[in-house]
Amino acid sequence: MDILSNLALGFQEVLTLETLSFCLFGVTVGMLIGVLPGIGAMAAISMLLPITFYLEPGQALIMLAGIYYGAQYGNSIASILLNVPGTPSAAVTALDGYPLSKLGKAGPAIFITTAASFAGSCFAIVCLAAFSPVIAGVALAFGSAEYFALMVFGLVTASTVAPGSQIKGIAMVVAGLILGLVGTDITSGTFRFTFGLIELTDGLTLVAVAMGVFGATEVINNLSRKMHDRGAARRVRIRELIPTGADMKQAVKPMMRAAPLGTFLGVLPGAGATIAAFVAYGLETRVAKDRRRFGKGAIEGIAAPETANNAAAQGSFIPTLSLGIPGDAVMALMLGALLIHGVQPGPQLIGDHPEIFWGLLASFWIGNLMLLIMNIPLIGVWVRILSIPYKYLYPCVLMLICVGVYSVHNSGFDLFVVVAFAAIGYAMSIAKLSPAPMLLGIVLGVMMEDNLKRAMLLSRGDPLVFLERPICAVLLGLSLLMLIWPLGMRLVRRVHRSRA
Amino acid sequence: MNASTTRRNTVKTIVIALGLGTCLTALPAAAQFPESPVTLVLGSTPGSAPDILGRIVAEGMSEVLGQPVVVENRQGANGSIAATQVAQAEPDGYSLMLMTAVHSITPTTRSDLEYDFNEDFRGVGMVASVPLLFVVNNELGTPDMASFVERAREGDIFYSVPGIGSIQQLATEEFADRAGIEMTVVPYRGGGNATNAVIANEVQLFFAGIPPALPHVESGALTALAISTPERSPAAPDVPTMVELGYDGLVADNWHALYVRSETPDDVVATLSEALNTVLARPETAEMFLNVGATPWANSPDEQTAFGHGEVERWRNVIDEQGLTFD
Repeated sequence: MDILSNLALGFQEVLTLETLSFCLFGVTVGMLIGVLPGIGAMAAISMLLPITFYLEPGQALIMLAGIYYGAQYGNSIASILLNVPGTPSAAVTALDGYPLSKLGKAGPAIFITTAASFAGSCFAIVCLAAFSPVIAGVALAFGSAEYFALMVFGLVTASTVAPGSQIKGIAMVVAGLILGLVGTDITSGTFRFTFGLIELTDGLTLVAVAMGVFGATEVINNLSRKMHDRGAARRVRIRELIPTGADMKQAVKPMMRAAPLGTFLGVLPGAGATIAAFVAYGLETRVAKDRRRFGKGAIEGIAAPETANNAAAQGSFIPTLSLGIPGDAVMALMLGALLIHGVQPGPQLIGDHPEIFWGLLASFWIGNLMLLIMNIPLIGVWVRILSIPYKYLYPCVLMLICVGVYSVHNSGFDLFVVVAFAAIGYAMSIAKLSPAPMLLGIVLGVMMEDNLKRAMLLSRGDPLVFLERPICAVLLGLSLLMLIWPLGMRLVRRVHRSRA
Repeated sequence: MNASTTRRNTVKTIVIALGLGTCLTALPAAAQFPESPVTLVLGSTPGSAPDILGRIVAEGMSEVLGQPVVVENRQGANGSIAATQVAQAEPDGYSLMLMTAVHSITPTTRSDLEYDFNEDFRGVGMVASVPLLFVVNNELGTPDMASFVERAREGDIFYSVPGIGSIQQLATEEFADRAGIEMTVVPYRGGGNATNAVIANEVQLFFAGIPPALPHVESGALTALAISTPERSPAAPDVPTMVELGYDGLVADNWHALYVRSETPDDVVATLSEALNTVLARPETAEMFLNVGATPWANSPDEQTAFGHGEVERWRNVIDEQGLTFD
């Protein structure tokens, strides 16, 4: 068996005390950084890059990768406890995670997140080990037209993610698309809606918007409510930390649906990991018997997106390593760490440096296991954060938000973006509008427009290109189906009722 | 001691501390430069080629100067946010700027810059050149430049660029003009996406960086027809230069160099230049540069300043001749 001997080589690489400690260091730093609102993996990885000059390339990559998925994991803890997601995919987790935490079920929520992350990663790792050369081809099969269709699909799904009315969800997606227009037009280089501010020429900083509409808004919301210090009053018992059997049972099926979805989407450079969580959540709201539970603390609402986004996180290493094409800045940094040592990611990487590739895959599994083992006892500590009185907790949260947002681009301007979006977010929360679809609208809107324009350029203005390409046509068809599903369901139910 | 005297003492301490701080920063020449950390500002994201080169140089210079050289990423607006920040910093040598070829293009393409590249900055020294490979997708079936030009005359050639107003776009336009062919530009966001496009055969041509393109040239997906630098690169020794192929003066050097504000004292610039060139002369620096597809390139502050002025001139001519517009 080829795969088994490859994996054996990988584990042989990782199971040395030195490599294990780099892996442990990576996931621990990543997790701690992820828990802090707004500070992403990028800040940590770019600071640690010079250290990797002196490490073995394989170990360097294992450490940096650990920071990457550790941070993603940590960010979901912060989203559940304090409603401060730093990425659009963590925003999905916050949709049901934060309500769960308000219901006093923060412990079980984190436990399920931990389990879901582990399950998602495991599934993705197995897929990657078995099919990595095939998977790389998938990334290349997606051209501009396909990406456009994928963005449409992602946005349609996002609109259904909003709890409550779908009209409001669509409205928020459109609001996100409009905000995404701010920046530089890709085909002409013209600045749009920048109001002469040079800081806006690359668009709004996503983390700043997210921290405004989630974290800062949450603080204002709590101020406007009656200030009751529930802090010391509540002591969490160990039994309350662990989900009940019924909870776990509820989480299993969503995890099984989300894992393949996340792995597949994660393979697409740049876009996949963001969409994965939204699509997984959207799928759950579609298959659920009672979709009104979502947004109020549904277990499926955290299990599915967490599984998907962790599966996607591992999947996103494939195009990076086997094509040498990084999907985002964090991946670019990891490529850099390899390049400096003369290890060239690309089609030949697996053949030339099997120990690095398989070692990394093995380290994913070990790193995720470390996160699992580390976090089960830590859940009690995380939950205790909630017992800090608000008057101490919220100033700290606000300060950390400022530090985190500043660290993204070293930009003071972004702090004003947080303030502006805190005001907007507060208004939105009064109007009961969900900010999560808006965030995805901002991210995907830019990519959707870019890819639409490119696809039209390449087809010399022929819109039929979107129907002629099979992947593209299927995705657009699915999007249409998603849109008319609620209508159709209502019709079916009406017919059913009139018959009865 | 009552509360008000405590407060007064606190205020006094703060005032003295602030005063001392001001005095110290006001006397830069009195002590040996540098006596506090130096910031190296660069205008692109972590993980980009300038970022990696900047971090390698910063790491080495920290050791030579005996003070940490801290990299600060201020991406945005094609590097002009970073340049604006350094142009507005104190001219004391504590704010270094890693300029790249794009900074010699924006003075022509952008009318709203808040700094003047030629007037506000002076060179410390060149860091490296990042050669660009002229790669075409293998399915085009053109193994050399002559056959490519012939094929391109039939039309239907798309080329990718990492952004409008990039050195890749200007160089490709200049090439097309010289070769007498017409091609359609398809803009992507960033070099990674633009490289991906030519590998996937969505476009047929791209001026790519060596590290992302070379493995695909070796695997046979891409063909490298030329290199954009005046000389061949040791990373791809078989690829001829544009000049060798008869395109005289067709050079697109994606250079990376350190700059400071033009009012910075000469002795400070000399110290920085010496430290930079010490780092560049080390074999391990050269090796790391080569691994990331860059060629080390050292010069003096005056040579760099003059080189920068020449580049602004060169790209202005290309833009005028090709009649390109950017707003």
